[in-house]
Amino acid sequence: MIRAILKGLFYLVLAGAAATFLYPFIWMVLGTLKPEVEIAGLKLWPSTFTLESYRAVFSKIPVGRAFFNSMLVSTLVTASVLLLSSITGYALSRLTFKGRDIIFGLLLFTMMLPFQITLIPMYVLMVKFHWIDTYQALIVPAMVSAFAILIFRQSFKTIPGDLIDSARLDGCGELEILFRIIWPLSKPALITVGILTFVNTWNDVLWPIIVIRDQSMMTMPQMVALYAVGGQAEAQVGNILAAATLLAVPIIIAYLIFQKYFIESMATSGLKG
Amino acid sequence: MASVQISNVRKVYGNDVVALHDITLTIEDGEFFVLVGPSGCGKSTLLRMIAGLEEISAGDIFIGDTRINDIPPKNRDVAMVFQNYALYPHMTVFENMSFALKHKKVPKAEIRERVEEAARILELDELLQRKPHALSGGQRQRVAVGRAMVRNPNVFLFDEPLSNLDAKLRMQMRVEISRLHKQLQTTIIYVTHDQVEAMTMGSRIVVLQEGRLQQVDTPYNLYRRPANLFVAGFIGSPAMNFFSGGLSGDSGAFAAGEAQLALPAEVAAALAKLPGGKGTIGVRPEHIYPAGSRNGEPDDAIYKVTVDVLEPVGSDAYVYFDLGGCHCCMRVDPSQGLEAFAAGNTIQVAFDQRHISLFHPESGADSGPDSGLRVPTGEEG
Repeated sequence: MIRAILKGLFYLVLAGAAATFLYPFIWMVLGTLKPEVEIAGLKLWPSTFTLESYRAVFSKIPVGRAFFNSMLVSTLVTASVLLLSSITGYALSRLTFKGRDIIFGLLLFTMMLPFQITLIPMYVLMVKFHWIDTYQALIVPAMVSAFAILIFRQSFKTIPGDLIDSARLDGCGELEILFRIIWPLSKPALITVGILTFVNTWNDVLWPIIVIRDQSMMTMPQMVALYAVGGQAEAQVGNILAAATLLAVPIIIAYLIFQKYFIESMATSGLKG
Repeated sequence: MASVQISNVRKVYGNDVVALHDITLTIEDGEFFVLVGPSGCGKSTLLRMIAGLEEISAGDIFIGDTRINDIPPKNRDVAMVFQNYALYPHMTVFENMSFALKHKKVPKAEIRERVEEAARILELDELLQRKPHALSGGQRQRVAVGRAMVRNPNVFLFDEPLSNLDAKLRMQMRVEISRLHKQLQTTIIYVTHDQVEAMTMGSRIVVLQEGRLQQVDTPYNLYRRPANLFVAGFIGSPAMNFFSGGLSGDSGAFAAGEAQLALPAEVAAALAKLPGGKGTIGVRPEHIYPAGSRNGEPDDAIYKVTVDVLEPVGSDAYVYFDLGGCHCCMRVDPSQGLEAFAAGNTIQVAFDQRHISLFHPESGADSGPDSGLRVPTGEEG
């Protein structure tokens, strides 16, 4: 009996914690559906539902174009990180060549550097390449990730060497070994890197603000940030919340689809989200 | 099918770790050749060098007439069966077995035919659509063999393929692989650390120790005429009993610890030629017997010993005791009763004088009479 009560209490505490995490998000979504005057109130549920906030956002900023830009940039960066970082991770975990460990050490070192340190040299490079206000500026600097290489290297190291030797005897070259043997066995690592890269690229505001000025090239978070703080939202909280909700939707959808692998990978790799 | 010629092959890791020292071997076409030795002796390294999975530091390897040193693994026409099966977990049994053939762009109909034929021989027909995780250890091992079979390679390489199986399954697979070799008549190079596997399967065996070749011979000769102390101790289970000592005056007896062991005249003569008349003599457990147990035959010399341990293993029983500084093992027939051999009992034992080996005191090389021990030419036990 006491055990049942304790269990009930435990679940109650967990439910309370979950509500703490979920409440701001629910408040944001419902806030977008309330008339502006009700948003500041304590009531969660709107007295009347309205899509006025969304109408305002769509009329004031080119949401469609920004959404397209964000989707294009995030997809290409994610694909490129998966491809190039896994190739590098494979080389660092499975091939023997001179300087391999030095290269790995350097990669780890770059992870320790805050982005703010490389920000200005990167910007100068973009200017020299004439890539300001282009997709290249948003995509190329993010095409390989040291973090992804680290994850892939560690994950590929767990695959038995005999499998790779066997593939070699069966006629596979190194790239075939990677894509036909190792990739199918590393789904959790691929999905983790994929989701983290997509989310990070999607949410990035600082770098796009620096290299993109042309409104037609702006990404969603950049657009929403400028909309929220740049005056276009006219201090209407509902409009800002609607823009933020639109920004969050693709990430939530991606997470719901891949959450099983994501959680599995986090559990096995010991990574924190 | 092809022969394999290994000529002065060396393997050096880094600058100074030598894994293999100048190995020279010829493996005949269609032979079942076993590489055996303790862990770390270099047997798997040699196999991997033949497969192309390890670089050859020096020397040459030929398959048939082709020097394969610089040929990539996929073009050497060898198939390998790994210790942990190395089946692709995301592919079905059929996909695993057909993977190499697909890669070679063999027509689909032929792939199906070859896989189904191998599956029939190995009794895998019902399992072709299963994934490896849904198979037992023995089934996985058979798939690994089948995957090698369908390629019709010049040489099969087996790297301790039965080590992960339980004892019963290991014995079953041993028979299956031997039968398969008879059927296919393909050259097989088989690595194992299990000397029973080596003795039962190989037509010839090479014994390696610390990267050096110790002896290459048939299982029978290896057991009967070990080239040195290491081979004598490694081949045979329980191991040969060794007594270190030297000639005792002019009596012709061998002084080992406090014991005086009788030697046949030829062995004593051979011992006298060794430095200081010193050496190591070896007697296998089956060549020590309870005194008076040979029907009518007189015992050459009798030693009184105290039984330390009695170890019945079903068909045989092993009696352990101390004699002449050696913890000796004697094989006895349990059907004759084991009461007399209870631990603590004092018993009398004798050596079969026809089967005493002699080894050099320093090099450990076989130094018995007639350029080896006095090996019986017949089949007497």
